Amino acid sequence: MEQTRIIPPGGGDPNNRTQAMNDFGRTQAMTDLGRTAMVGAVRALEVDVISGNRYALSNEPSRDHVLLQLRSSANMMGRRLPINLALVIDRSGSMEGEPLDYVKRACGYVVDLLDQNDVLSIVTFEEQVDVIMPARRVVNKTLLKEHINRIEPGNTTNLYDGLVVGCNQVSSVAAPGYVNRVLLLTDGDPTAGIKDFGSIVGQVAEQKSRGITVTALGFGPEYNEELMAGIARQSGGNYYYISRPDLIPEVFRRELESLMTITARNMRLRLNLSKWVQLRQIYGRQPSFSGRFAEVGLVDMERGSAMSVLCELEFAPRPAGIYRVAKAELFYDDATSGRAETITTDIEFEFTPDRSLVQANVNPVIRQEIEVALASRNLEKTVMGMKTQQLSAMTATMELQRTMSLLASQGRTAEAEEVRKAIDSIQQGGPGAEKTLIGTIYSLDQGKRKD
Amino acid sequence: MSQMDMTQNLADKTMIAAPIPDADATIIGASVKCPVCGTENSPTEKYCGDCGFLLASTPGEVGEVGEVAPQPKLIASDREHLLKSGENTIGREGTDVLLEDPTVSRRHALLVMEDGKCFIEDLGSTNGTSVNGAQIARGERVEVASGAELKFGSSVLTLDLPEMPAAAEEPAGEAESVEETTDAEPAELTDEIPEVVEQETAPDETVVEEAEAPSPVAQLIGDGVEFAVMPGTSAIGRRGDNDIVISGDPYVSGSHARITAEDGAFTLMDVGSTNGTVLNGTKLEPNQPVTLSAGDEIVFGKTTVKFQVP
Repeated sequence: MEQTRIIPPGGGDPNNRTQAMNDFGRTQAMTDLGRTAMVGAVRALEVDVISGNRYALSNEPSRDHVLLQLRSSANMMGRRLPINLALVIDRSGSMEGEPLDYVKRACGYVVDLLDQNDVLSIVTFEEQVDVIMPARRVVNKTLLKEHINRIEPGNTTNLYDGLVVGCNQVSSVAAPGYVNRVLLLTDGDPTAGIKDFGSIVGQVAEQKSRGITVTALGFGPEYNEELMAGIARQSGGNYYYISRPDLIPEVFRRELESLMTITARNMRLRLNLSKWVQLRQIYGRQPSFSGRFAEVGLVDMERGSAMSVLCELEFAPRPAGIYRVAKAELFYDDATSGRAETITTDIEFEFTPDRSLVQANVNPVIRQEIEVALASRNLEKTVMGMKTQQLSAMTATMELQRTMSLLASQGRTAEAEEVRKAIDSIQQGGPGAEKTLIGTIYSLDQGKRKD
Repeated sequence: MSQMDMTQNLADKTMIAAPIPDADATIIGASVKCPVCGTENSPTEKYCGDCGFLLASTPGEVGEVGEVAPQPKLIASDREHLLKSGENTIGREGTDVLLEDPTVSRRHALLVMEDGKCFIEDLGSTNGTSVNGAQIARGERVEVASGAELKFGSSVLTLDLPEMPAAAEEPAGEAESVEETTDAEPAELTDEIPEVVEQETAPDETVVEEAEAPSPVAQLIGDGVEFAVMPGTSAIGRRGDNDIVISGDPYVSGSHARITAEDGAFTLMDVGSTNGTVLNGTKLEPNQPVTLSAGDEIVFGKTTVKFQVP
């Protein structure tokens, strides 16, 4: 548990942290998952609002940050959500031998982990696409494994069609209340069918709008990390770089564990801004704007995880007084209560002409969050510099070491560790650094942490 | 009876007694008036629905009641970016105006706001900057007018420069109340106040060209009404956010017409008002600017004014 909460200056100012009120009035029955939901049942998520300052200067334009911190309970409440999963496997020629052997083992592992409430389909692609096993409940595990063992290497890589067929398998049995997911594994650039980044990512966006999320697994030194990370980012799925074939089963296990502990899905955060307030940015995310509303989709959350959403707001001059600058609404499907929930919270600032009051109340927590957000942008620049060879290996290493110590000092140990791995692979002259770092950038932008 | 119950009852009663609300009518009854912006709110609201003020609290001492002056801004299709005076950097990262568009460079262009004017400069962006369709050269500083279409990479924004809230809008009586509340303010302001107060005796005079505040370039004079026309574009209408507010005439639309004053020339344009704008007896086509000359007679709704240039 990572509970180092820094008390804001001024002795734990209650106005700096608004505990979101449960908005029971607005919860509506989702699909019945065969569970009796109690009125006011325990919910999976809590939202804290932490502002960069309790005060803002009155009568002049100003800016400040607001951090929305989402936390999910670590407790297991009720059953896990059933999973509707498609494994979409690259069986191009380059996968022959060890890689495909480990993939088969990993698929068999997935079969073992799932149960009869889950739905599984398996699709392979090379030049053509085959549905090895259409979507069905995981009942006869032995038969399923026989199908898996019949996977043979082929020729080229038609990733686009493989992806579409996999998504169609998921949607063919789509039922509300399921976690719909496609695991896409490839070891190379698309070489057949539709190959361009825009079309593939556009297809992923369309599938996302139908409720299907794609997790992108890149294996070996040859795959296109920008494409794979782009797919994950577009749909809110996970991105993994698998450097060695023997790591494939472990990564599948991690992904399955993540799917099995999802407690909040289809999350959308909406900010209803007061009319003199502008949203400058949400770090690492691309909100859509419409009138006084700004909205952003968030990735699914697992049990015992936390997510930071850092917003920068701009205020037009205000007369002194206490104002609501925005109302934040979080809409999501809650696996614990079994319903669609809304958490509403008001974001307040007190506008004062007293400059010293504003200066004395800067909240250091926000500074740290900004540092982490900037670390992500720095990594992006370093990766870009490495790709265009404008940065020498030595300069890149130095840049990365700086970012690594910054992440470590901000408690981002997992990401700091990834940067360390990237530094190692630069020093060994391997190709893995960019493939690792693009995942680090993505996870920093997601703002998600496992406690 | 708990407080909650009382509020509930109160709300019920109002609902029954109140006639079907007319959007424009002032809501009477158990509403709470926001002390900051004057909006009437239902007693069940915690915050003012218009400005967000916490209704249970008291506004600060220097609470200047009324709307805050509109700020210059860049308007995108889905949002607005506020501009400050002086330099505003425009780009994809860490700039004053943030455009999250991959065709925009990290540091793309610069907008400089000076004396109510706006200048633009390209900072050597990859995909260039254009003003009303014409690409500007790197490093060149170009003046841009309100309403200009600015393109950075493939992001298109419209520049919106509100006129300075004219002194003519606020009668001198307003200035007196400012004087009382700004005891702690710097000398700059207090210096000016006697002058403004003197103006009260001769309201017909145009404000002395003293500070940087632009002075009116023309006037609209009607039966008991008088409006100052400031340089640039002035929005005219019944709503409070116009530069020239004609509040007494229900035949005037919320947003009715526009007068532009540039280099000593004046144009008038109806912006699609319900009852139209008539110039010297001829009804204007909406959104077609026409030239204005001194002595012209203009009718907005049922309000007739004479256009006068000093």
